[in-house]
Amino acid sequence: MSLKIQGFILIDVDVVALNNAGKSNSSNFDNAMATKKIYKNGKAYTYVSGQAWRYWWRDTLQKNYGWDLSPVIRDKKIAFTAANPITFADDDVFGYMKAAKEVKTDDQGEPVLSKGGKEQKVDVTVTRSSPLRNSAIISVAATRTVENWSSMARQEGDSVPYSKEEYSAVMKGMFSLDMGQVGTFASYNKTGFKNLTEKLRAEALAGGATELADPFVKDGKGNAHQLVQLPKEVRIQRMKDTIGALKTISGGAMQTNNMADVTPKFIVLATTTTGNHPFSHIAKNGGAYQENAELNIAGLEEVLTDYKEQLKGTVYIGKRNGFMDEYHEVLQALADKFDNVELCSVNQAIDQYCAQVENQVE
Amino acid sequence: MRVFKIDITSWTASFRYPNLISGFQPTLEVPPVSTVLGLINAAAGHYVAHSTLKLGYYFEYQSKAVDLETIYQIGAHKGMPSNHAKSNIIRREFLFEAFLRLYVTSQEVADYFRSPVYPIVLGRMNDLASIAGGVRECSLVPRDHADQLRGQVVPFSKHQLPGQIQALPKYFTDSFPRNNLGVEPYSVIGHGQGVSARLEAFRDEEKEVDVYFHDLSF
Repeated sequence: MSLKIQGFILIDVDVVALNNAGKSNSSNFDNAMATKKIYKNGKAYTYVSGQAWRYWWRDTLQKNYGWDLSPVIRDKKIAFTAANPITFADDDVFGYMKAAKEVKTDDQGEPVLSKGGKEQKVDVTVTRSSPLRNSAIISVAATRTVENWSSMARQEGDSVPYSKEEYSAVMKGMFSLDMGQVGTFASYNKTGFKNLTEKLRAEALAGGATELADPFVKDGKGNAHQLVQLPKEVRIQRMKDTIGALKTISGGAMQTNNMADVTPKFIVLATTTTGNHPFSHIAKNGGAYQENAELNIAGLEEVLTDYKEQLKGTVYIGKRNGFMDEYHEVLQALADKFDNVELCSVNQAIDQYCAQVENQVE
Repeated sequence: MRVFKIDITSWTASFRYPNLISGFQPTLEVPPVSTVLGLINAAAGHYVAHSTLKLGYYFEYQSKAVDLETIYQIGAHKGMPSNHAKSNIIRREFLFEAFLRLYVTSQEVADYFRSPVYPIVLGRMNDLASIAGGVRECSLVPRDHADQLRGQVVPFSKHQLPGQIQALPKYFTDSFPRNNLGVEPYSVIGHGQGVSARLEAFRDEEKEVDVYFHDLSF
């Protein structure tokens, strides 16, 4: 049974343009930038793409958690120089697709030698689908964006007008991190399973990794394929860092004049025994014009009841004081009603949940 | 007909056109059969080697939007990808507030969704989805003359229904590299407008949709 870390967040941002969509085609200015938004029933919902959120996440792990990121050389062309999830935690958690060389082997698994006695090499592609899956970050309620007219006027001559599209919103995001996949790699020749070359596999095993039977994938003879798993403390640290990074995550466009705090102001963290993400509907919009961001407390209670059997350990709900304070009492009542629910501050929720993860990793 | 119903919802979804590699990336309005079979595999936790499968599904969404995205165009060397890439920006269409309902007759397949092994995504890793309401059993009434075929793909060669005609894959092997187990033209019928046809379909009264069942054999 592979446990999953399931997270749901709300961020609260004012006068931002966190993720932009290029040149605006609805502005009178030549020099106008549009922000990313979705229209539904004639109303706009601003969003940050999932790709951008991952970029902030990776960046935060590098700056605040000392992650040594998998090297990328930026010259005329970009070169990915490693597909090494053993050494680089970001390769492990965020996934990759890279080219590699593999020693050619015969049917007995012995290296095929050239006439000169050297091992022959073949090109292979190693892939890893990310154990961390996340949504886009989308405004909970309909949002009215404004076009902010700005000008660059420090030079001689005419000023240069430009505009950007700004908004204030409560925005929701969710993610899923597969505990069983972090620090655990396959190297067999199956689509999506060849995470490692044989060389890297051997290096990992020599460096303290262990072998583990894959519960789902068998070879032609019916024997379980062997996965390579990093030591428990390494895997735990990578998971704790990934979740912990949410405490200080920063990012987004236009930070010079539109800086925003994009750390969660409300968070739900839970461990589930299945891959299903249960918290997708615990925020909703309300009011006559769908412009109010609301918590769906009845929906949250329903999830806690319906998925009781699939929730393992404590569900941590964190809320920042000053954000949605009108829900504090009902959330407290919910925490009192369920033995497995804890209400605290956002950072306490993250820290306590990370402590729980330590005991849940197998 | 007794079937198991599974509802899957997501905030965003995208299903790429298999034959478009560069430039604007539109999304299909309905996932191909191979995508749905991939979801079944994700729920099962392993590649399911179906010999036969009876499968129906209905897909709807609230709106479409276009995202701006960084892509890395990976170079090729002797038919294999190299590690050299060119960064580029593309516009990619996606669907907002998606809903997919699966109808399966197999208890075994339905059970996969009671406790899915891997997270379910409707498209790519950023299209995280949820299974809403678990697995429900219900009866669908057959209709000889379906007039609400929508939110589905229907094989074109056999039924020649209006819609967007697309060559779509049915399934892939789990070999390395993956092999396509057959492509055929489908009418991709969006959820907005029901199509009439003389073919056997089953009515889902809750969604007021006539469901076409794919009888797949591999």
